[in-house]
Amino acid sequence: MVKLQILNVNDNIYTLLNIESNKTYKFSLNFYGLQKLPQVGDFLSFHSELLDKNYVEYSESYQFGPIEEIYGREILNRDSVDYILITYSDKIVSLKRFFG
Amino acid sequence: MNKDYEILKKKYGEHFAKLCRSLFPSLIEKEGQLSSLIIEKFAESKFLYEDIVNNSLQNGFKNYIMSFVKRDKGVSSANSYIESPFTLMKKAGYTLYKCETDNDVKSFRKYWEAGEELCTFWDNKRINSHLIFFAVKDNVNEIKRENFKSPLRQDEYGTSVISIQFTKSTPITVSIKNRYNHTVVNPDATFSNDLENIYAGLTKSFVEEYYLNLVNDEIHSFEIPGYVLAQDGRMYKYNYEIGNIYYCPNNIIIEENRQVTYLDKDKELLFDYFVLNFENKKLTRAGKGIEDGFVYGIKDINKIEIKKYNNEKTIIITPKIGENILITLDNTNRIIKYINSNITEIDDNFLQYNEKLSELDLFSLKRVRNWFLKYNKELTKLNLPKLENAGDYFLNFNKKLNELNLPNIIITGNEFLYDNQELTILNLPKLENAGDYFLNNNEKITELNLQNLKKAGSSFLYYNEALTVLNVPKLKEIEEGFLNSHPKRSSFIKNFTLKPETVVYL
Repeated sequence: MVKLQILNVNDNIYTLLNIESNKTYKFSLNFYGLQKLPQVGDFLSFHSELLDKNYVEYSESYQFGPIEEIYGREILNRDSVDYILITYSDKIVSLKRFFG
Repeated sequence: MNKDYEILKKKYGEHFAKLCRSLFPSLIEKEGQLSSLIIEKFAESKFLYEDIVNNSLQNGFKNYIMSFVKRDKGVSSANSYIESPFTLMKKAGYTLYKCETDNDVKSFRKYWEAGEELCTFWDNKRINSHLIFFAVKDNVNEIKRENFKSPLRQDEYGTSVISIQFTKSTPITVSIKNRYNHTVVNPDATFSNDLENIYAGLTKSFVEEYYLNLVNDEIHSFEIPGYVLAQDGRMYKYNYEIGNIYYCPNNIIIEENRQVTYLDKDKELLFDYFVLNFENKKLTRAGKGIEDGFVYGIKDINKIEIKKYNNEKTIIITPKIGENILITLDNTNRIIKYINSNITEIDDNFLQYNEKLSELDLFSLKRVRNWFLKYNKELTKLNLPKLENAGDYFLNFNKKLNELNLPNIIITGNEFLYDNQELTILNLPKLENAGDYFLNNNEKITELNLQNLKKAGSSFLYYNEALTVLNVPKLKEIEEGFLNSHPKRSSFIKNFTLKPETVVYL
């Protein structure tokens, strides 16, 4: 997974930094079912495909929600492209990509 | 013969000119119109054709160019009658509904099977942030889910009820959802999110009816992977993007503010992210960013010569002391081969961002520091016969090397060949000390002879499951993560003692 630090949040537009490669990304992200939305300084870990413009399901607008919900594919393992992690200062939360 | 065709052929190649002739038959008839539009929107490039076709972007390219024609030539809505989206959708066989409340949205849930429902139905605030429409095919009751065993996103069932959603905030984008949702690939881009694929004129119709400044119909919507839109409004192919600076073929650099800088071809050559100055005979790192160890290996230049062979060119550098240095570039000026027998030591970040180097011969090299070719993925031939000491992250992400001989290496830092998955032959007869994550992701090595290995850090061969022979007679102690995924891990482990603080879960 690629670990991305949140540099800026403007409404739901997130600016993310890949610290390893120094590349920045801008995505419209919507999170469902969270008690606390990720903020500047928190980290998001994405499968590299979600950052690859050649990936068939690449989008500049992603939505994520609880893994047990029905609005995305079943997550069979942590290598799933649809699986993401949010690393807050005090905890880690896993979510999956929602569609629709 | 129309001059436009000839102009396009000269600047972008024959295939591109032919593509334009087939995509814009009426535009090309008007002398100067098409060529000037293309030149205005795309930097001169012989790669444009293959980059459009290889990415299946012919339609997007056509729409992109046509959007400027419409705007520039003033086919204004004031003078032409545009039918409403409801009328056009009716012509496409749909009844269109506009949702005003969340209850309106939820009333369409009945068309979706359990497990294929849209996230839209869960998101009770979406009505505030989006203009939401549903379109229901007039024969929807005849189209049954059970008759579609192998769903396709745009088959009859998938598109029998769709939701068209526009963001309310800028940039305004459209997403078209279908009835299968995530059962199919990329469900949020049904009809490629192009309303024209539902009915011709629908984009304009929505734009006019709801005053949408739709990005998908505008300048930002068309993207070619590996191209950047510069301040001058043209798209440029680039080789590398580092820290928001784009290093392009043809001696072009696009700065952070997207300003275009052209280097003088008579004086300088831009390759990868380096500039070779023919006048002062100096090699420098282009743009901003950390220095690259590559630069320090090429100093005190006496003569520079460039020879072209087919699509490649080789820079022959004669130093004041030592043997000739050869740097081979591909047709976009990316380094693909490098031979330098003069350097014995390399500093940090040697070709750190280079991705395309396939052959490297540094005959005299004895020591490299950290981040050596960290992001290179293509290297297949590596000759470092005298290398004794490698720092951290040596070829960290290389995937293609399948044989590696480093007959004199004694010490490696952390993450040596961390992500290499192809290596099957590894000859490191003098290696004594390997850092953490040595061969962490390699899954293919079956036999490993490291006669002199005395110390290996944590996660050594972490994901390897194929190893059958491990010959490390001098290695007495192992650390956490050793052969962590191997089915016979316990039989390997019994030959070693664990480092005192190590916890191993068997």
